[in-house]
Parts: sequence; structure tokens; C-alpha cells
Amino acid sequence: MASEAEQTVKLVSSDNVEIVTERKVAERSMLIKNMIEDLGAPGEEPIPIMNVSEAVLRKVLEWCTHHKNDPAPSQDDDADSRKKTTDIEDWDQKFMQVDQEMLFEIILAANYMDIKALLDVGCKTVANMIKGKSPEEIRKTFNIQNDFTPEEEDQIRRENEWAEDR
Amino acid sequence: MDYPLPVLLAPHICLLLIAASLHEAFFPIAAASMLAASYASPGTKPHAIMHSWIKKRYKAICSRPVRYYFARTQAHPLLELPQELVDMIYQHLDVKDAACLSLCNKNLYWRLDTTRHQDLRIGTGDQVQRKDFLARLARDNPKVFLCRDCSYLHLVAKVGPPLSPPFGLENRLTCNNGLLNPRDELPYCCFRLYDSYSNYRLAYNHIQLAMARNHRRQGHGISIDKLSLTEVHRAWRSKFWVLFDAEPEVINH
Repeated sequence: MASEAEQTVKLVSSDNVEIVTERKVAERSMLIKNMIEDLGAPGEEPIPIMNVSEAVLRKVLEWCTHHKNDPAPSQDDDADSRKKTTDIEDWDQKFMQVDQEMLFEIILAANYMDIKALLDVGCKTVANMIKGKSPEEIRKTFNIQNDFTPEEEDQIRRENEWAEDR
Repeated sequence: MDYPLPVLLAPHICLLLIAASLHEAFFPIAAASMLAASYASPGTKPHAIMHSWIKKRYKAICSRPVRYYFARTQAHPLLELPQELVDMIYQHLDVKDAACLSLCNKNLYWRLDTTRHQDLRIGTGDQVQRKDFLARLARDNPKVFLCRDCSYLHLVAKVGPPLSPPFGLENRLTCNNGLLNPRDELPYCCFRLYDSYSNYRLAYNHIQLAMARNHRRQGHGISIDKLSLTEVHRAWRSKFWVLFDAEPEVINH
């Protein structure tokens, strides 16, 4: 039997495409790691990744391959102080230079596959797209329709003591 | 069948209404054709056929992925994210950015934790963040501007001409409980010319709004022409008349 480092696993995307990858790479996903532990025989039985299409799964595995030797996240990483920073590694920044549809697909896939570090990078990327922008500029960035009436906007400004009628 | 027609039709009309509420426009048409077909086949209860057909349709609708319905509305994926993911993005934002995101539309306003707006309150909140945030709101709305002195949004329409009271008292913007803050007036704009005292008072807000018009698009701020003034008045204890002419312009380097 091959050693754990050489083992491969078969993943099946939502569009029924089989992708073979290293076990170590796939185990960046806690979902896959738990499945492998439950199934007991990695490589033999394909693992279905129901909610992730082939294109997104390949992209996620690309990230996992680059980060396969990263140390496991420590407890400190979950502290609130980390959440405020939006610094992203250079490689991750380039990795996230995709269209918005793919970016949100990656975030959803990372959430489904339980890859905390990738989910964190995705959320930070979206946060960076929002930073420094006014509400209207954010709407333009994400093509969001403003459904507030001018009266409602005015009321919010007053309730929060942001504006005065003088 | 001894039942009168309205009694017979009543359950089918109800089912048709359910069918119409369940799905698209073709649905009631298809349901009507099913109903007609059920009358054509004697021995089978029409409402039983309808019932099983609606059950099939209902199962078909339920088995479709939920994203199908989102795709139909063409909403941005950001608005479709599960709540916990929206919250994660929100946590990476500081107060001013978070407030801007929450004001994008009603969906985000109700989904996001707007109690964070408390951190932008006058006095108790972070005043630097408040000013940055209000400056962004002013970028979006040409009718208001941020008064950097009192840290509120004011109406541009309330900024009067650059004249001292009583000439410019009407429509003059006042801050700090109605008192004109002396810091708003630039000291070098008080002229004493030939024992004459001009009423021309150029306030900080005037320059701020004129520059806003210059830097941003039409509709923001005020026109520089509104800051022009020609004054003719007699010098104190003198036979001379004094002409004062102010023609401000923005010099671009």
C-alpha cells in the first residue's frame, strides 16, 4: 500500500467530472479529510463534491496544492484581532484575481468544503473591494440596485445623527 | 352526477388557484387542460388527477436547486451569500466601511449588524471614522456636504453668499447651536481698505464647496461665480468712494 504522502484521491464535481489529486492536497478541506477517515480506503471510492463545479473545484485544488505544506491553523488565528486585518499574501492576491462570479463561487466552495484559510482569503478579498468606497461606489462595484427611497435614506441619516437640516 | 355545476367546479377552481400561485403563467393553462382531460375520462375523479399532478409538479419544483430561483432574480452573488459568510466579510471591515456596505440596499441593511453604526455617533464614536464616512455620503449626494467643524452633513442650499451679517444673515449656514464659529471665517478675508470695511466674508465652507464643484462633476458644491462680489461704499469720514471687487478663481497647478 502506498504511503500516505503518495496516496491519491478521486473527487467528483457537481458536473460529474472526476479529478484525481494528492491526498495531502485534498485534506486541506476538512470535509474531504473527514470523508476519507470515514470511508477508510482513499483512492478507491470517488468522493462526491456535490455543490462545486469542475472549474471551481480545480481552482480550489490549485490553492490547496500551493498551501499543502502550510501549518495547521492555531487557536490564536481565530482571535478577533485577525479579523480586522485584510492583508493577503501576494500569491493569494494573484490567485484571487478572477471575475466576481468565480470569486463568490470560490468562497461558497471553501465554505462547503470547510477550508477556513481559503474562506478567509476570499472574505478578505471582498472586504478589500469594499474598503474606501461610498455606498454608491460599492453598488457600482457589485452591480447592486439601490432600493432605498430618498425619504428612507434621509430618515436613516437623521436617526443616526449624521445629518442636520441646517 | 347529481351535483349542481358550481358545487362540482368549486374544488377544481381552488386547485387552479393553488396551481397559479405555485408556478409560472403556463401552469394554470396546463392545469386547465388537465382538468378538461379528466372530464373526458369517465370513471376517474377529476380532482384526484389534479391532486396527483400538482403533487408531481410540487415535487419537481422542490427538487430543483435553490440557486435556480436566485438566478432568475439576477441578484449579485454577494446578496445571495449565506448569512454567516456575509457576517465574515462584515467582520473584516472597519466601522466606516461596514456602514457604507449596510447602506447599499435594504437587503444588506437588514442583514448586517447596524448596531455598529453607534461607533460613528457624534461625541461617543470614533470622530475620524465618522468624518471619513460622512465625506463618502457627501460624495454620493450632491445636496449635502460635510461640515468639518461640527462633523455633520449640511444642506448645500443653506450656505449663503460670502457676506457678513446683516447682508448675508439670511440663508447663512450656522454651526454650533446657531453661533457662527469664528474659525469658519478666514481672517485674511477681512479687509480694511482706505478706512473702509468690506462686508465680504469668505468662509471655509465656501471654498470647500467651490472646490467640490471643481473636482467633482456638475451638481456638487457651488459655482465659483457665486463667490464674486462688487461693492461700492463711501469710506468712513472721507469724501472718497471705495470700489471692492472680488473675483475668486481656482488655480490649477
